[in-house]
Amino acid sequence: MNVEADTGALFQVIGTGLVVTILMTVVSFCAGSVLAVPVALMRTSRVWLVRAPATAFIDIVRGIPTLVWLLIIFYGLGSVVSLDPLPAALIGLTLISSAYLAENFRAGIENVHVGQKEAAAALGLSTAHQFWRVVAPQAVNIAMPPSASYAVALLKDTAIAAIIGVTDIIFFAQQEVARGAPAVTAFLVAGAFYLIVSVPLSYFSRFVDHKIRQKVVVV
Amino acid sequence: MTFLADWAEWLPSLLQGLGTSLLLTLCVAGIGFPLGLGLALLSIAPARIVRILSIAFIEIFRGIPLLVVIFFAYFGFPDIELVISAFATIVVAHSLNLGAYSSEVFRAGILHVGPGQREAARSLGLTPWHAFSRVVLPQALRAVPGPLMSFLIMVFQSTSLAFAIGVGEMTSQAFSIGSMTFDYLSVLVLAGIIYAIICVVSARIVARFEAKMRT
Repeated sequence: MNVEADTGALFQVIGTGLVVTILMTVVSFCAGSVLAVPVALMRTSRVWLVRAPATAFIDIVRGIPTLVWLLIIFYGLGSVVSLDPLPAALIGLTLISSAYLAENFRAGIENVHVGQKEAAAALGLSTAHQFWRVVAPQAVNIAMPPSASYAVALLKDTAIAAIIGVTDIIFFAQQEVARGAPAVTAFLVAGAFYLIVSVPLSYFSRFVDHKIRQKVVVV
Repeated sequence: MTFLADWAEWLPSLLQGLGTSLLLTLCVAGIGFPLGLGLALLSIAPARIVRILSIAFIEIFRGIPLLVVIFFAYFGFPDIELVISAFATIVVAHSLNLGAYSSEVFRAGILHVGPGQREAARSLGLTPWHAFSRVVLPQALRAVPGPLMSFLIMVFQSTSLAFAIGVGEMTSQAFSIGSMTFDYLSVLVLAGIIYAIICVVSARIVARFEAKMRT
């Protein structure tokens, strides 16, 4: 058997899953960021009735393991409305990333110095302007580094979607092993594909962190 | 309220699974944390080659999903004539993962102590080993319990991945009940509630502990 040719073939087959892995990461990170904004706003509200549901949402979503969420959505809700594996995974991962990102955004909002808001108020800006033009832009800066490192964690979390049958990197690796490919090589190749994406991504997140630390004073 | 009757019926086997989940968490922590401390020490070792190798090890295990490591061990070990149980496979794979992650916490703790402490200990005539083990390390370890407890919660959550190779922890128990009753939703929600209660309560305890440490 030609080992080199086999490894090359493994790279090709498993590589087809890379697109799905990246798609899941990007879609659930973007959709999660959008959903996280209202959750973070509610979470930082001074009114208990507004704040409590957001706190409960964040706690419950983060308190349940990713795999259990995906099983609940795919198998549990699947008996009510039939879902394909990929949409089920996207729903689950978006839900989870919205809760994690909402906590990052909340920390961002809370860490903008209160003087900024007071200064904006003293200049006569309306409450909405104080928030969107003065507090929010600085909050985004503070929330950026932890959110970038969350993207790395999310990338690795997408691997769990293979368990419900999403055709990502690890799914193809498993399939090749089932067809008789050597398991050690197949999962090393799968690991290499994750590293190709995750290592640059985590270096980028450290770079963002470094840049932002130069720009704003994190209190 | 028929689902409550179902839940009461399923609860014992879920709790039995929970026991396995907790046992896994303990085993993983028992091996993973010492491994993390070891990796942290190697990653600041005087020898350059040792530093490079240990940092490469840490970066690789932090960059690869835990599930890949689990599958690698589960399907790959038999290929190299290494046969261990599924439970042991999870413990090995998960400990390597936790070791890599927690090494960052240990390293930050050690670097936080500052060179003056070691220099002072050395000038008092302590051997390099004593200066480290009696002066630097105790101070370094004071900063780590909070982050390590947060890791413990994460480990508990990811023991659910043992489902993928059929270790009978809580998620697997819930799923097998689901496949017998065809009522996946109800039993998985029950398992989810148990996970959430444990994680939320322990996260609150950790937060309180960290607030106390800071004062």
